[in-house]
Amino acid sequence: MSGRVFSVILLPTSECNVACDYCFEHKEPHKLSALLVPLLSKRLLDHMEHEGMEACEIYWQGGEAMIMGAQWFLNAGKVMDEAAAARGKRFIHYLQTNLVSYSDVWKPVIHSMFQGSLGTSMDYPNVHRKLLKGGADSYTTLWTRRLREAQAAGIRVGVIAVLHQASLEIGAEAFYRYYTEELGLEDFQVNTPFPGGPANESENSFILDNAALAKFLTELFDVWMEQGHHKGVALGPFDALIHHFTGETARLPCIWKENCSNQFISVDSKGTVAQCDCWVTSYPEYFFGNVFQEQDLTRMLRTSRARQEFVERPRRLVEEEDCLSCRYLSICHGGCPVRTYSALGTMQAKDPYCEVYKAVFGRAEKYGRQLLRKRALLGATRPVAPEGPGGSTTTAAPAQRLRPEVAAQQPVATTAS
Amino acid sequence: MLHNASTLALVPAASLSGQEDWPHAAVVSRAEEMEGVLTSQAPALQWVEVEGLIGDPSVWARAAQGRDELAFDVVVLNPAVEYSAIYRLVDVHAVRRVRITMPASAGFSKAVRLAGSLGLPVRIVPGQPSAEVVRELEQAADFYLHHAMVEAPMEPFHTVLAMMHESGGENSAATATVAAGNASARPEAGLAKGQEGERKYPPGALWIILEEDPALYVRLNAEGVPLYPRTNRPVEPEKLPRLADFVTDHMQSLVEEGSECSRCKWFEMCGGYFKWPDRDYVCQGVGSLFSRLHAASREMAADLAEAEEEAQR
Repeated sequence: MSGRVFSVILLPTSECNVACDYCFEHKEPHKLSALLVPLLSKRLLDHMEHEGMEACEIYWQGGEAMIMGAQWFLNAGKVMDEAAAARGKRFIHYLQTNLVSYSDVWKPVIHSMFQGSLGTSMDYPNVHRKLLKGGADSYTTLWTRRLREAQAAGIRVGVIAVLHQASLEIGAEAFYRYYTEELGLEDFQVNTPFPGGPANESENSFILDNAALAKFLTELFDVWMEQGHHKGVALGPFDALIHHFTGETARLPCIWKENCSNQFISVDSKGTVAQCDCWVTSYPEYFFGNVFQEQDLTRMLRTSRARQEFVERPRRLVEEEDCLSCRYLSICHGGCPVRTYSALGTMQAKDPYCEVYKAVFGRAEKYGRQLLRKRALLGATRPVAPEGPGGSTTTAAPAQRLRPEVAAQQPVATTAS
Repeated sequence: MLHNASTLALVPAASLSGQEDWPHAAVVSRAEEMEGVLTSQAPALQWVEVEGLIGDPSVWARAAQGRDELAFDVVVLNPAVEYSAIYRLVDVHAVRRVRITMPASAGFSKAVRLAGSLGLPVRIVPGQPSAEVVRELEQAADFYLHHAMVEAPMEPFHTVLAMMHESGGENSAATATVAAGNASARPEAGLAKGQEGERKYPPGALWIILEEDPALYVRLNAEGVPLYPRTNRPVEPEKLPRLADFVTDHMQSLVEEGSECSRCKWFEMCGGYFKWPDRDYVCQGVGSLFSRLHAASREMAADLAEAEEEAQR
């Protein structure tokens, strides 16, 4: 019994301060009013009470969340936390940002409200993330400067990288070194892209060949195991898979959950509720309802026809696809609904990255077995890292990667966070 | 004799007052009974058996609220058809212990695969399987034994394997023991011994593993009358005093009538499980299931010994 995890991906605005090629979100200049935060808190707390849940993880993102301002977050966090405490419950806040507007004013907010951590994104090479005025290079320069400033302020930064064709061309080794050596990160994650939102011209260029993507990811897995795993570098989702295959507690990304509909929802600045940020920003036909207009969130989730499709999806996949006979059903469950929907126009099919996932799972299983064997030989009761080229094992305090469960939901077409 | 500390009674929920102070499990077969057992204050309620409700999402939504020590045994009556509904238990499993029980009927292994993939413990009730189902049981055993993703126990494979391993993998015909009238089928009777080479499980262990030995598990009907295992047939009043000896009596009678059990090397563990309720059932095929587990236990012992040696080098 792990207890139920309930998370809300909260979008206080859909505005953004950058112009990424692949963003599919509708950047409406709308912000969550501070006046509505108490009502939002009440709705969430009512739902938690009804479901018997003690804590709720709030993943703040956008649009670009920092557009709301540091003081707005301090106020909102205070209102939410006081409302939760009054009912014997707890909100745990996380922040996902593109970092572009980071400054020292954010330091106390991040330390007090977000446990000194934040999540951001950067691709390598960066060709698609762009400033409103200025290209990708300017974006990279500014983002890197902000990263350094945040790190200097003692903030732990986790980075999500969305893969694209240029990443595959540059190769796993160079990709890995950029994050670990050039940026000095000890915690980052790779996401698979998907063509979310309405079709647009640039979408096709983000569709990767599955075989090439699988090759890249398995090579990256090899590089990480050889160079980083034993040094405590966390590279998601490989690290979670290694935990899984060595019998440790693993928090697999949301794309591989038994049923993501059990675990989180997303709410935008107008109170729209949908399955996740991708759905709430892009697919009105799958909105569950509005948390400000409907008094009972639990009832909304129970009765929403749109949500039923998510709830029933894993059932349908084991009946209609070949998932039941798959060796890796227990860690995949048919993959991500939005990746499927964006590619196929229906979510009632298995994830189009099926073969890619299998390749990665296979690699993880192989390394997991090696580690287990090594542990058995050493008679170790605790996990033992393999000896790497460097010899000794170091345990670095990993940065709290933002959105440990929902981070994988980052689409190729995304906000710049 | 029923309401004692060492016997667990499985009682229809509708027959319970909520004040029972003897060990029992509530058997829920209607959605409206769920609320009562979830809010039950009965001090000796051990678990809830939910039968035939896997297809009702409202039941599982209610069962997933809060966090509770009360465990659920969810009986999937038609696993070949209902297997995909096991996904409805994901939330429940997050807040309480859940086990899936299913009959070994044709196509049941789909439910085994899904339950195993969701990390749910499984109890497969073999009953008197057809040749086709025996083959499926062998596949299920292979899945349990060799699939790296299976982490939760699958009964009866799990405990049979463990017992074979603990006993050094060797089995002996139990004829002499049973004929001599070793009446105790309680786990402590057999397991308490454990000198090298000695049996470390009680005769008829399979009945206990599958929770069908009336000495330990008695299923009652709505009138509170005990039922014979795997039947809806009430135990006759004159037979009640020997209900706790049901398995040993059954074993002894099989030996006395010279059934194939008396020549079967798995009889001591099996206890004639497959000869009930139809004594004419032919066990051909069932033995290979035991052999498969036996081979796995020997393989496991060899692997462990090798690993130990390797670690010492």
